Amino acid sequence: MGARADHHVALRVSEMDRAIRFWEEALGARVVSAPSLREGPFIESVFGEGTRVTVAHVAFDANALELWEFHEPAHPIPPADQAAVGQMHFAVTVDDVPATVARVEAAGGRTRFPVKQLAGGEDSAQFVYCEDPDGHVFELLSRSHPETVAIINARQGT
Amino acid sequence: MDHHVGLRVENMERSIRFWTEGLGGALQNEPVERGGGYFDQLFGPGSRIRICYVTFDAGAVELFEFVEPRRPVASSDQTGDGLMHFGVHVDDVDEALARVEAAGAKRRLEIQHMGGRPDAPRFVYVESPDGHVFELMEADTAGTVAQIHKTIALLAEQAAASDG
Repeated sequence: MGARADHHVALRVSEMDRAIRFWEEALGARVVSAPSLREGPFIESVFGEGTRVTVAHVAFDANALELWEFHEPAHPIPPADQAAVGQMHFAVTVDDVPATVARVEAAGGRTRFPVKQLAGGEDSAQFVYCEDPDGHVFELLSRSHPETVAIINARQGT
Repeated sequence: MDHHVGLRVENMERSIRFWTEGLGGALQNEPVERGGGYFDQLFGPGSRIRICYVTFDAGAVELFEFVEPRRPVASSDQTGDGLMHFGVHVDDVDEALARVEAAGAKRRLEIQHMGGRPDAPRFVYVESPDGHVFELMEADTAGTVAQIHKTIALLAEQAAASDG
């Protein structure tokens, strides 16, 4: 069975315009579907009676974010405590981790700790956990997923 | 940004079975227990975790079972959580749904057509045994965006008709 698990990641955001600006400026996303208000029977069948939500899509070189600003129900966005939430983070491969961190910070994001090196020597992947202005955690890595797995498996001797 | 999605799980072996049997993932490494070093900074002093990767035709999930601190995983509330769900492109929603349900998933709603339009590709929200929500979709990302544009145009037409 073919499962391509890079269709999109959905994030709830508190201010749509700020969120779009952040992902454009921080990671070079482009808006592929402009914010649009959704309400009525279909959206209520998915999220409950009375739901009103603005939805937009931004895309990257691979994968996309689906951004949801709920007007009704409007709950605050909880902080993403990595040891307490279920969906912890999503990860992004970039060419230059420190340069991307500078862009993320200039766009209103922050890092959770300084840039680190995966165990496995100087040529292993650089990585860092970042937060967007709503506190969603995303990880920047200097290596692709297959390369990262190879580094981990080499370390384990498997 | 198709490197991976990190999921906290309560029972690593159950979760590996789920993501490999349910969605056809490939286990890339046996779970390994990690702690100390940068994990103290990542997750708090004294944290200990078991980690592994499961990969798909595209994308991956990184599974984390926290040995310390050990807290229950809450079932995802789509209008209350920050990270809501992730989408998975499959060829046949019926077949994929049958497989994930056989592996222990629950559907959150019945299979729907995108935008509620009968001619549109289908999708369904399902949850893993830990309550993580993911979406099975019969269109790829570009195809889904095209469907959204159709839905928005239709909603605008309906609004104009009711105004007129």
